[in-house]
Amino acid sequence: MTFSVRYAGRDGGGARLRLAGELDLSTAPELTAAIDRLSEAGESRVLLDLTDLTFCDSTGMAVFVRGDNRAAAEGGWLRLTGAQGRVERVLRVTGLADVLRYEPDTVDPASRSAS
Amino acid sequence: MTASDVRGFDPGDGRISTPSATRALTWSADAAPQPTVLPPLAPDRDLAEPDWSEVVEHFREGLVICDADGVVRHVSPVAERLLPEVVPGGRLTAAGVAGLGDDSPARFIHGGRQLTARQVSLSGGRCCWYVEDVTESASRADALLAERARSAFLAGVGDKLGNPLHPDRAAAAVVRLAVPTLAEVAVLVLAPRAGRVRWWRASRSDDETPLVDSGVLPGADLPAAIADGLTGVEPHAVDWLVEQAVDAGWLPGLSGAESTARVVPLPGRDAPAGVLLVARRNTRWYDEDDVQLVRAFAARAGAALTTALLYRDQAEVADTLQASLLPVAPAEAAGVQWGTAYRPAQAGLRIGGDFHGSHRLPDGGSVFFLGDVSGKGVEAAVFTGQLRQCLQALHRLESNPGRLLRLLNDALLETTQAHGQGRFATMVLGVARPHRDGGLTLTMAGGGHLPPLVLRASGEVEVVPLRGMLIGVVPDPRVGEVTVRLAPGETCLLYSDGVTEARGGRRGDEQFGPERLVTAVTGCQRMPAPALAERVEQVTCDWLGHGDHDDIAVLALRAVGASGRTLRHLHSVPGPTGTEPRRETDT
Repeated sequence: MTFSVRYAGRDGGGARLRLAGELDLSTAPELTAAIDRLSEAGESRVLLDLTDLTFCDSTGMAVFVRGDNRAAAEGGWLRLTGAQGRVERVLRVTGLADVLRYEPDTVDPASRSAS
Repeated sequence: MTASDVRGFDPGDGRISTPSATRALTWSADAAPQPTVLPPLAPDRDLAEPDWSEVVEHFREGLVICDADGVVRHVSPVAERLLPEVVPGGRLTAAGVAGLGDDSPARFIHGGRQLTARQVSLSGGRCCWYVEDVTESASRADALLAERARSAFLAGVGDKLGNPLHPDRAAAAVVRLAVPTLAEVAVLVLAPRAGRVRWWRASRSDDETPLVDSGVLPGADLPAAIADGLTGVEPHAVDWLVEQAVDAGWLPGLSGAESTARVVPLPGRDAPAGVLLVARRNTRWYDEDDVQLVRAFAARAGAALTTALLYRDQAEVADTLQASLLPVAPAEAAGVQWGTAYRPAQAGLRIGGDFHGSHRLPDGGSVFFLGDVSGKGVEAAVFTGQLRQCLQALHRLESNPGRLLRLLNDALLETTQAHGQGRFATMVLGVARPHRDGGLTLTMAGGGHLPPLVLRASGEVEVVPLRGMLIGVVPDPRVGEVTVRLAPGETCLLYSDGVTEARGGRRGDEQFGPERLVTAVTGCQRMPAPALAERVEQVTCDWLGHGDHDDIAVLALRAVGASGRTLRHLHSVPGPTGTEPRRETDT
């Protein structure tokens, strides 16, 4: 299954990107580019919707972490939401689910994790 | 000059050319190209008869006309100059010109000039010899042929030297190619390395292939001319050069008195890469063209050698760095039997983003770890190296796994954030402490890695409930800690996601998954640790088929007791029918 990134409007104080398919070494640059474009457009709050993501390896997680580091440098954040099945398991095992958890009720989700 | 130029080559001096009348006619035509229409032959030519003798005098060919008796009747001025012996009134044969006989060769040397002659019969039994001086064009053609031979030789040298990646092979190829075109004996002396000088020599043998040998000299024993050459000076062809080469024992079959030699430096990066000595019998001196050819050859040889030397230097650096990044065998520890498997994704590199290892603690325990850094290949391997070096230093300060993992996180955080590529590691870090009864206590801290498995003596396979966050991402990660007790003969298995995420199976894209791994090791509780690690690697690779894979790392620890009884040589593998494996304690 191929990978795709789609801009899904603004939501919860940030831009929402909807990922679908498999995120790995070959498709990670596509996501990196999409996040960089948002950042260059001045958007430092990014929410990645992983509902339709079926696979994510360490390269994909590296893109999440890099994106969050970059956003944090500009006072923003990158958060994940909607992970299912294998992706959810990988994020749980690595603890990344906790680091990048999106809490819609919290005004600024970045204040939760990096304590 | 190309072959077509040669074919179109006109040796004439250009005096015979299109009549100017025709040219004028052509030029007077419109600019637009038109087929040239020759003027019709005039039926009545009232032009004056040309003065033939005047016309003939301007031929490049000289004319000698003889009557029916072979007596010379006319000699044109050109023929007079070429054949001063031929005089009107005398018999042609009496002049004794070798080329002017009935069955003479068309081309002959006369008076130091190269001439061609052809005989044409005229009316009344007379005949005419057309004699032409071809010295110039012949020497031009010879020079051209020689030049083409040199170009062909150099092109061949370029092909044959190719792009050798081994300096020894490049050096041997250089001397082999120099014989016999450039020399009967060719010696290549490489620039000194650590005070020693290596040389290669090719000498002409009876059959086609030259004999090649090589040797080593202390730098101080180099002939002076060679030492000069290595500093970039090209010594002139003088007798003592040959004598030096003979003294060095480099010229078998050639004596100093009857040989000629040249020395040419091989251009390198800064200083010459080496020096080429060419020598042959002095029946063929090295003239200016020959020396130019040797220099051109040396330029190509120097380029090939420099490439090979550069490659060797870089390969040495890469090997050294690579060796420092390879996982090392776990340190021997009392009561623990280690088993490891390691298969990097890029097999050619032999290094990757997975790592494992162990360090001995002063209290008799061991720190052990297995993990995975994000990314693949060299970059991942370098990060792995940093991580292992950090651990090597930090385990001396802190032996509690949870605190050690947090220290490691802080140490790596600086690097990973500065790098900005979202770099991180997941790992399991544990401390094993032996007990008197032969068991082990394992205290393990989780850094976002896959949970270890424990193979109980009962045959049960447990998943250790170890949780935690990945390392190198946030300043104060949540690190889980679990203590597991291994009875003698029980094994703990750590593995990387290259095992569980291996894609293969019947459809080729199905993940191996944690459940299949548990199934694969169920019933293996009696296996020695090395065999278990090997089995995990094997079932993973079987699942992969020939597909690409991520780095695969496996670390197994088995409690074997401190009594020194080693189970290393005992393998017990479950039989294909599921029969009870034989007990390793029986033997």
